[in-house]
Amino acid sequence: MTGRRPQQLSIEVEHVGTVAIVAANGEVDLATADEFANALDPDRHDGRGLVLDLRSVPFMDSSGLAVVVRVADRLRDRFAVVVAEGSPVERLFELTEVLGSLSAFRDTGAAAEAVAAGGAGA
Amino acid sequence: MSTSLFHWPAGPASDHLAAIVESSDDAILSKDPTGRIMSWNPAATRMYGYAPDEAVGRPISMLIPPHRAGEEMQILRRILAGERVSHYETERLTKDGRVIMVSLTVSPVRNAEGTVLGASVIARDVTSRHRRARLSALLHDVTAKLSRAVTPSDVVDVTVEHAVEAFGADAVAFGVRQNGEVRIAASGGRHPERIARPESFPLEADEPMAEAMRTRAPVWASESGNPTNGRSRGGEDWGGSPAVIVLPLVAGDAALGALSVSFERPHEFDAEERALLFAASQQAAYALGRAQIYELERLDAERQAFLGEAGGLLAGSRDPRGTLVELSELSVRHLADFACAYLMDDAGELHVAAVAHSHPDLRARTSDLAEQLKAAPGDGIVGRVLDGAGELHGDSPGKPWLDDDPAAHAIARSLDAHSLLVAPLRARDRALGALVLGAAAVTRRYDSPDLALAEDLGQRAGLAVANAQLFRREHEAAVTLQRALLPQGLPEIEGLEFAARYEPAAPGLQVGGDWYEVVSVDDGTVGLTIGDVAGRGLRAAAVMGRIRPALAAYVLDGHRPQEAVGRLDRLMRELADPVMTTIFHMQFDRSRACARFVRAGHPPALLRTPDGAVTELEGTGNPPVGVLSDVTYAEDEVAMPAGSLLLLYTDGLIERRDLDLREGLARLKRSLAEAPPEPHACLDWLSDQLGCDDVPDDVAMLAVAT
Repeated sequence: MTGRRPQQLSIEVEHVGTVAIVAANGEVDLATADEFANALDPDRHDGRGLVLDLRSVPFMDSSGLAVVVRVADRLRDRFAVVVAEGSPVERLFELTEVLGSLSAFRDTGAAAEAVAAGGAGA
Repeated sequence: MSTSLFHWPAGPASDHLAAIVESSDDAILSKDPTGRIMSWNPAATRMYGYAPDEAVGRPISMLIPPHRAGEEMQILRRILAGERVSHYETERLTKDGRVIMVSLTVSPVRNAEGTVLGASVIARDVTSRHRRARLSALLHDVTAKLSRAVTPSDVVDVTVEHAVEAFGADAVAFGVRQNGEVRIAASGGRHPERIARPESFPLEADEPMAEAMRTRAPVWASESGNPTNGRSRGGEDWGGSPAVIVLPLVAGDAALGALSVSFERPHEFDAEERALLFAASQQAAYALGRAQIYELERLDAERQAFLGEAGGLLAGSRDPRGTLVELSELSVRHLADFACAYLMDDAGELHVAAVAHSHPDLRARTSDLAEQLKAAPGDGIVGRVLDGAGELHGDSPGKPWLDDDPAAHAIARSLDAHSLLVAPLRARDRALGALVLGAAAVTRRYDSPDLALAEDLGQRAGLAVANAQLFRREHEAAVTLQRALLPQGLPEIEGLEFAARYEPAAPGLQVGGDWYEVVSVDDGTVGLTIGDVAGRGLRAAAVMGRIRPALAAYVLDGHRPQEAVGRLDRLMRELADPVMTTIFHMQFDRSRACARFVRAGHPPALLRTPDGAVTELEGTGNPPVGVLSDVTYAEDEVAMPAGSLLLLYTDGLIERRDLDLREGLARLKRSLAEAPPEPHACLDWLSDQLGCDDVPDDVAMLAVAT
């Protein structure tokens, strides 16, 4: 049998002042993890804080999780994720015990405020 | 001379009238109220065949065909009522039994007092006018239908159907020029089987159709079955009652085909029939030319679409044989009736890798053909293309059709195959195998554009197969490494039973960095670990190969779970490019029948206690190791009484794209509740229940029975 067709992942980036809002849409797995990691690379966002909107990601595996955790560790309080309540991504964060290491929000506005404040404090 | 029962008044006027009646082209007769013929002019004699003395005094019903018998009474009734009947079209019977079409005008004849004495009948023969109208309607119809014909076979069918209808011919055949030969595309008529004619013949053949196409002039023969005898040429000059007429179908400068109309007995063509035949064949020629252009465009579009679809299929290819199976299936849906593909092994021997037939019942026979075709590698039909160009084989006269392989020919015949494309599968100047596409008689016939397509397909498929082979080797290397890095056997520990399993993901995906470990410490503690390095392939396997022994060493050194995992975390973050890793690590104290564990980003282990309850060992929960700074790992304790069954696993076991992780976990818990207590049997049961065979991720499992 041949492999699954690569899943589509589209990523939109919006810079708002000192915050970059990165919205992912699609599955994040081994096939798309590199693209996902590139979009989140802090060096691409001129030192801005990052808000990662994962509300339109129906599936993420450990390759995607590793990317999120690495960025979170690097940016600390200048990074926040936006996840839908009860979504598979939130479950993944819960089950792998990384939710406690992430600033998680339900909407990008609150996340951006927190990240902007974190950036100012840093 | 005419005999008249009407006594025309004597005088110049009546002489004048009589002269008109005598010289009229229309039949003029009269009848009495009982229907007896009373007068009969020379034109009536010409039309009906009866001389005046054969007609006068006889009932007019002798002129009326039996199925029109009632008609005469109706006409008589209207005449007796004083009415006139004008241009009434009906059929009449001649003396020699022919039915002719006539137009009647019937008027009452009265005496001076106005009493109706009888009727005068003026009859005009309209048979030929009727035929003209019918042929003209047919021409109109055939023109309309040909203008709507889209495919060549539409054109052929419309033409044959109308030619049969127009001439009542015994056999009509439509020949189409194709690859230097003439192929009979369709035939019809009352007795098409009585006209012996080959299905196809070369354009040079001594056949009337071939000659008409070569000379672009009609050919006629007066006797069927022996076309050379009495054949004549020369435009419309076939007045001599031919039995076969063949018209070339010429559009622009090209003779695209020929139309043959045959009769068992010589047939007179009148001017109307000839005009129709010429006009219709001209229309058919243009319609055929147009349809052939459409057909070429359609085939070209179909080929492009096929190549596009094949390209998508081949781009995702990870399995050489599977790729060829899918390609064969795709081929029989689009451009072949059957297909087979060969792969060459390292020893240079060909193996049939895939066989497909659009009709599943014929797959086995296609398989036989595939085996037969490869039987002679060096100079056989398949072996020959390996180091060169593809080949087109067809059963056209003059071209050998599998003539070097009678056995293959016999099977091909039984598949109705008449045309084959054989193309090499090549990549980077290396022959990898071959692709054979076959056409069966009724559907298609391959041409040079198809050969180019097959060669193109062979190139693309060859590259895909080469890539898939490379990928497969890499995958096998990673699996080998992974297995080499895993414990070669589990330690023997009194009072405990173990079973462990590692299932690599399907070959379409790279292996991951899943591992398990059992370590027995001198103080009676047993270290149990399951872990998952994020990412895939050789790198993940290599990282796993470094951290597995490190963690085992910390355990053997006597570090408690939280210390051992904390040290591993720090070690991993020392690596140049740390990789996130999830771990479930437990140390089981046999003397106290309890265990301490650390869950670091890993799904909870499951514990089935002797009472049958299944518990998730969630514990405090810690983030994964290797990525986050400043993590302090916490551990928890759980009682594991004798008779417990512990299951450690990686997320491949519960992760499904269509299933939430929590649901996957709930499913696993339900399965474990019913699993047999013996660890090996337990893992078999879980694999079965959860369908581990088609999981997109690696799965590692470790079961322990206390």
